Amino acid sequence: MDLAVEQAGAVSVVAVKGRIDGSNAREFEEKLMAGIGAHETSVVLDMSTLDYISSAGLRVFLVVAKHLQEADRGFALCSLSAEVGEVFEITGFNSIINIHDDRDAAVSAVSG
Amino acid sequence: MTNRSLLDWRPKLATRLYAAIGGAVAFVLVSSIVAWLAFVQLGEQQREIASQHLPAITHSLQLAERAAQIASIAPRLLVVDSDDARSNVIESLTALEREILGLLNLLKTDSQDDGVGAEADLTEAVRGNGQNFSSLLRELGQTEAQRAALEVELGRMTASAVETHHQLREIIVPLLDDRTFFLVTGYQSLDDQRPVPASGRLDGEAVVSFGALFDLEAEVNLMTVVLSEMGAVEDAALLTPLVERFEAARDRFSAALARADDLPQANTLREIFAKLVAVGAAESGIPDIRRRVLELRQESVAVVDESRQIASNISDNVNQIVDIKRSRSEASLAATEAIVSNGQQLLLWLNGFALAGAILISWLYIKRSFTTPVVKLTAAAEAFEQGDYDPNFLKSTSARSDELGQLATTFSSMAEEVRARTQKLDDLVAERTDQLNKKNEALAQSLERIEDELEMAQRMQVSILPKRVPERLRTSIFAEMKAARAVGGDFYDFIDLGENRLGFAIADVSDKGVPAAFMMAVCYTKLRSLALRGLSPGTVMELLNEDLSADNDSAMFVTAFYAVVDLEQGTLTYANAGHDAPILSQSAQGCNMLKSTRGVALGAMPGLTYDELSYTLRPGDTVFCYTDGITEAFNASGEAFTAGRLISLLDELGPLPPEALCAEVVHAVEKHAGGSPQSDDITCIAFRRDPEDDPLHAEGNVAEASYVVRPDLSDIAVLAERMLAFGAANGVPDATMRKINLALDELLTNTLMHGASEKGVPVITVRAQRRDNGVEVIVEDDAAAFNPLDQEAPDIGQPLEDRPVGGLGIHIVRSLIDDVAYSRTGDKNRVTLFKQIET
Repeated sequence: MDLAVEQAGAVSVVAVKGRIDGSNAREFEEKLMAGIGAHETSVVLDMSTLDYISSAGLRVFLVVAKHLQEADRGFALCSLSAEVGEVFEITGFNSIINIHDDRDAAVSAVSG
Repeated sequence: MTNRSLLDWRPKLATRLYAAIGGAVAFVLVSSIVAWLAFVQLGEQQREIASQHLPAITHSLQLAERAAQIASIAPRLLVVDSDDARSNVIESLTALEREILGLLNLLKTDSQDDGVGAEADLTEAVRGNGQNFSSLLRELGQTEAQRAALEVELGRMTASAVETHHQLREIIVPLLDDRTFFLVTGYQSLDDQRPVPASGRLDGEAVVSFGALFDLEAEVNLMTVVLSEMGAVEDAALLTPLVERFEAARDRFSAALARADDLPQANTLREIFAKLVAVGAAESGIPDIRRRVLELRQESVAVVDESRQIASNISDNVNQIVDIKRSRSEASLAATEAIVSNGQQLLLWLNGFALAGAILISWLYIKRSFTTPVVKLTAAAEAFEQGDYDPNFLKSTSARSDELGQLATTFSSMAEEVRARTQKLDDLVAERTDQLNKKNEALAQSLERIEDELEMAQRMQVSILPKRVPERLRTSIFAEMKAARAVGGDFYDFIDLGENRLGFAIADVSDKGVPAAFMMAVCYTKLRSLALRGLSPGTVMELLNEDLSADNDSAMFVTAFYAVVDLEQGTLTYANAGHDAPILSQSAQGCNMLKSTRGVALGAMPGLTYDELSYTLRPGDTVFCYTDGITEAFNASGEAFTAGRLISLLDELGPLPPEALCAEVVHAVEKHAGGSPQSDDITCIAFRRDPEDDPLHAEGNVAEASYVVRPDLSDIAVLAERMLAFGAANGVPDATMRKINLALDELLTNTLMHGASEKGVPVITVRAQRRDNGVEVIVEDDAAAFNPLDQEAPDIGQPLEDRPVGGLGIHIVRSLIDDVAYSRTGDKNRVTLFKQIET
């Protein structure tokens, strides 16, 4: 699991790569919070290179989503693989976290 | 030490004690007396000041008394009738007046009278009144003297009137008697007894009618009476009627005299009568004088009244002065009393301070005399006891001339003596200790050298033992050895025999320590060389026995187990030379001892043969070899660990990787022993026919596979890879397998994170089976009973802020898997998943 943070205008775009499961969820949470905590910007997670996620990983998304909502910062996901998308659907996370098909759509959605 | 008699001994301390007590008492007494004297003197001064008021008050009182006397004496002037008495009264009044003036001067003796203010005004008023009083007295004296003179004059005139009255009566009365006799008897007179002539007239003499004479006598009497009344009348208003009566009587007398003009005595009567008239004249006669006397009397009364008033004023003023003096005196007395009272308190305090001071001084003195030297002596004794006594410490105490000083001197010399003796002993001990230390050092050096050598030997011994088999054998074997002493008698070996064959051995030399280590090294080397020759286990044992028993003078023997395993087939061939039978741990059958080959220990006697046995291991089967250091590990109460306990333990542990298995067993043995010293070398080997060789690894088209999950979340990913391989080998699409894998991830993560207990991390076995149109996966763990399906499904429609963190795993499982069931089987949780192949 790797994270890459880049700025797209006023939005922090974080690209997530690899697997997120119980063995690295904590590490993922720490890295992600460190990556987005540094800026008071909205956040887009680009999931195009995320292969796998379990509920332990979802937990991190929920924590981050709540954190950003409290800070009044935008938060969206984009480019979910079919399998990852299915997990979001099963758990209803697609209805509480904004999910977009591609990065541009997500960035423009949180920029507004 | 000086020799003193007992008599010398006693008085010194006693004298000091008496001096302390006497000093204290003297201090208190002196302080008290000084304070008392100061206080008394102060009181006396105040008393004196207060007493200065007294004469003034006394004088004031005397003054008041004098004034009162004047007020009572003055009226007496009005009633006294003699000059002597009058002058006496006046004299005494004058004396009083003088006294009053004198007292006024004396009033100044009041020390606090500054001569101004109300008191001075009063005094001045008294003085003024006194002077007025004097002039009044003089006036009174003059008036009274005048009145007295007039009274004398009055008396003289009254006497004259009486005299005249008598003269007149001497003439009138005989005439009246003769006329009366003539009228009654007809005789001429009493003296001339001749009858009266018929004519009725007396010859030779003026015929005076009886009536005229009678009137004369009556009027003379009346006038005399009126004159007397005039001389005594007390009211001037009464004088006028008296004068009128007198004048009327006088006129009537004159008329009567005129009728009796023929009397030969008429002229005489007229002359004498004139005198009477003069006395009774309104001017310069008795009435006039009497009037003036009464006027003077009135004046005197007024003066007396005034003087009485003045005396009363003086008395009042003096009384006021007395009041002022008295109140001042009382204030002064009160101040004096306050001073006395304060002085008493002060005295009390002074006495208190004196007492405290005396106690303090006595205490200091006693401390210096007794306590300090005794404390120093005690400290010296303690210091001496602890060995850090300084001879100079008691120097000052020794200098004292009393018996404590003597004691200190004695103590010092005794201490010096003892110190010298102790020093001698210490020197001796130090010398001996030094010698001993040198010997000990030599010994320690020898021991260190030996220990170094033993340590080196142990390092060499351990270094010759292999840690792992070559990686290429892809097998799983691990050994653990803990020597009871620096060098042990146990050994083990893994030997790569080529052709995918692995030999492994475990052995225990009958003795311990260095000789056993030598024996072990020899045995190890020989076994390895025999094994490498590719000989079968039985032959290796036989040759090794020949070799060891050939020149075994020390009669040591070795129990050994040697096995060769065909890693392809899983065939285990072994021979046992008197060693504890290894335990075979199988997931299906549990743990059992490997069947014994009944061989005799090596080196015991030559010419023996050793049987061999073979057994085909299934993937996951584990052979656990051990020495009696495990089964005969004793705890504090002398209880051995025993083979039975070992089998139970292995049963409990289940299919662990060899390294974990060895670690668990050694840990359990150490836990059993508690703190008891390790009695023997502890050695064990675990060989597991690697599950990697099983079909989960996607070799061959098999319908069933199982996997033991390592207690590490990252192993779940490894399991997922294998499951994918299993799916690929059994015609299950990756998409389906990935869903199964996600479900397994959720279940196993939950179990590994929450299933740990005092038993340790749960052992989880996953078994997959291709069935019907899908895959069945059975997950078993030995954690405490827990049915994940009991969890309530989360409300996935909740908004973000209400969503709980967690609780989603089992929901994912239910969503992805077609059929999920839980059961508790024995002491294991079992979750069965069935997933249809998705097309």
